[in-house]
Amino acid sequence: MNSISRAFFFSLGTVMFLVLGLFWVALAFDFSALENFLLHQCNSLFIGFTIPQILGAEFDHSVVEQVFRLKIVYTVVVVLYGALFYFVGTLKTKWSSLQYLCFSIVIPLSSFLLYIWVKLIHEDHILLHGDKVELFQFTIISFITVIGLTFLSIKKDQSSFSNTLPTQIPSVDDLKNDFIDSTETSLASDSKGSDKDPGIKSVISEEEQVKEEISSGVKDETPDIKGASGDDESEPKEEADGVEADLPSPTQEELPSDEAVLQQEDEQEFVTPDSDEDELPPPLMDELPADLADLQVDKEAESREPAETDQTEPKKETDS
Amino acid sequence: MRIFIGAAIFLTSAFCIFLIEGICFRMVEKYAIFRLESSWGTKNSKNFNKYLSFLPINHFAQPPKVSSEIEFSMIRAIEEDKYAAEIMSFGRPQRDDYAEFIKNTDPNRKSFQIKDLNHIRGLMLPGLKRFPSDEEVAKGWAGRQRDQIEYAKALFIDLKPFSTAFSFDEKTDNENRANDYLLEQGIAFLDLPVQGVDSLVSDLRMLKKNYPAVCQKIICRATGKESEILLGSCSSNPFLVNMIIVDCPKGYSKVPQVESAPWFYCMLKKQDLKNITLVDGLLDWVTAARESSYTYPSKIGGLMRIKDNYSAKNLTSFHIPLINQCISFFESLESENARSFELKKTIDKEPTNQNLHRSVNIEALPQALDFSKIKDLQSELPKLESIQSKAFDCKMVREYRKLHENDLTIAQTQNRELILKIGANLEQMGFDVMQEVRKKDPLFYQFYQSLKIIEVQSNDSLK
Repeated sequence: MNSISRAFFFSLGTVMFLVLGLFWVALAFDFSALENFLLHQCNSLFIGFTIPQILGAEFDHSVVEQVFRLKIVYTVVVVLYGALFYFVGTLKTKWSSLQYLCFSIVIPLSSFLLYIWVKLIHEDHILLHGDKVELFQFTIISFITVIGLTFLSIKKDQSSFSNTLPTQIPSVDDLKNDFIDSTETSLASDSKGSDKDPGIKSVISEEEQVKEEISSGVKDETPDIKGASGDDESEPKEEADGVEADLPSPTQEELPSDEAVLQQEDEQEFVTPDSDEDELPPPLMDELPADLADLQVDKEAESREPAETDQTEPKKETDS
Repeated sequence: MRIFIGAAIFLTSAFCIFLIEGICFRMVEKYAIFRLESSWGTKNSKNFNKYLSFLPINHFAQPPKVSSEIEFSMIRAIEEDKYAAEIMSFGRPQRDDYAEFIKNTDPNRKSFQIKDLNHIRGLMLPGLKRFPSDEEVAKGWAGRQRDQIEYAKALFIDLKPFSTAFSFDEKTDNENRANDYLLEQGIAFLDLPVQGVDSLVSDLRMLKKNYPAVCQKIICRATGKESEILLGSCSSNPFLVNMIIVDCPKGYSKVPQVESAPWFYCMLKKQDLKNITLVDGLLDWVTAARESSYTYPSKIGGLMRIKDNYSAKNLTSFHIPLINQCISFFESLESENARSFELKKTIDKEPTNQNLHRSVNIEALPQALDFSKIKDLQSELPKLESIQSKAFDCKMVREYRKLHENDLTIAQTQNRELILKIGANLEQMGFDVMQEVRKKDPLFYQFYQSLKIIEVQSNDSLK
């Protein structure tokens, strides 16, 4: 996709430069159609001004001077937009290229709008009703375009930021997995010994080192998993979980002091709900209403039965 | 960074306010008039608004200076044109309306009352009526107070050549629409053929006598040769007319030396700028009309515009806001009886260049003045602070003054005189000498050639 857009912008820029060349060659050979086009431009009116007058020509300039001014202005515009398309073609992301294209419309349009109004305010120029309507339409369309494109670019920028931000924030599970991975890799690195350069170790901080180890650990492990499971992306995770489940969890003595504290806290967090249930004493028979007391008796009877069956099943397994 | 962002926001918001205010001033007539009256005060005020005068708004634009520092009247005329465009910017919304009114021809034209008075035919009245005041009854404008009198805000007289006296009915649509606009504004209209100064004065007096409530304020417009007649009649009777509009005049008369001169607006073709004596004469009228203690006439009492292919279309409406301001100004003066009818106190003026009469070698007279070349050459000339007069300053004059440092008469002589004197001597020495001088000091050569043309024109006008 990126290469297609790049090819499109490069070819568009090239076409513009070719058109420019053709324009000058045609003028050099006196192509009457092009000459007529430029003359028509010189005579056509916009809010009571001729096009060369808007582009800065004085009223007493000859037609030749006005046509030359038009040629120069068209050349400058085409060169600038050709260069812009080349530049947009070199941009890597689609978003940035779109942003540049938006601004390439917004900035000249708003500047031209301001220029027209400042010219009207300062010049002794009379506006007829038709001119006023033309001016109003131009102003409204330009204003909406400028505001719309600016708002769009800003909004898109914010939305892309808001989309990317949650993906960058790790979830609790990710942190947990990363933590487990880090502990495994640290163990593996300890077993391998000091393979890394001591100079690098001194430069990289502890946190960065942990990150590097996490990433290296993931990279080291994933090819093996991928090789075993094939192209499917969901399987390696499951297998990795299976590997985690197979591996024995490290003892508190083997872990560093900080991580041991963290593991203790984790264990407490996971254990506490069970312990809460155990700690709650069952209500006494006397405290319950008569109907509920009967029900509790029934429940106790039911609960005893499966417990007995559970106790018998392992026996069967062991027997078998 | 915060300061930078704050400054950027402040500048952007200030620019937006400036832009919106400018758009309102350009598009909304009421706001434009409100801003004008806020800046200049009431019609008969003599001082500007002291707080607003600090703001860079175009109501406080300074008129071009009248001094010998400006070499040629053409340059001053161009400056006057720019000044007029800037100072009258408040009238653009009204001019838009006028241009639109002229453009849209109305098939159902309103019928206005038309009256004839002896040989004066076709006086169109706007149909305004009111009860007269005691003073007006005493003056004899009405028989009694209960009798309504027909009145108008002003009478607009368009002077026509006498040869076209019987072809007024063949008006173009644009002319009819222009008349209708004035009539709808409450201004009576009359096409008056003129033969000479005396006939015009007598016609105006007759109109004032017969229609006093209509002719309280008279605005006269003339084109070409009729302009000279109009200026001549106003020169001898300055209080007869309140405003003079001349379009491409062929001649001019002396400026009336009165304290409250009529307002003056003239349009000149770009080609007419070469006629230096005419431009000088009209500039004197412009200056005289602006010499007033009141704010409004001191700013817009005398204006000059230069016509060309582009601006001619726009200038057809330039007089409309000016007429309105003129009428309301004289109304305010009349309500307080504040108009002065006294002669101007004689003031020692700077010696002007136009009355010099000197013999000039006409053979080597150039075809036209090239002011752009002079401007370029002047910008190249190194500046000296010690020089008293910057007009007609060039290398040759500087060297000549240096050689005659001890000569008092040369020290007192103007640069212009020196150029003419040195140039005439060099011409007598031969063509080659002049060409060498041209190479050495092209500015001196250009000055000399231009002054020669002016001298020839002034000599012709004196003859």
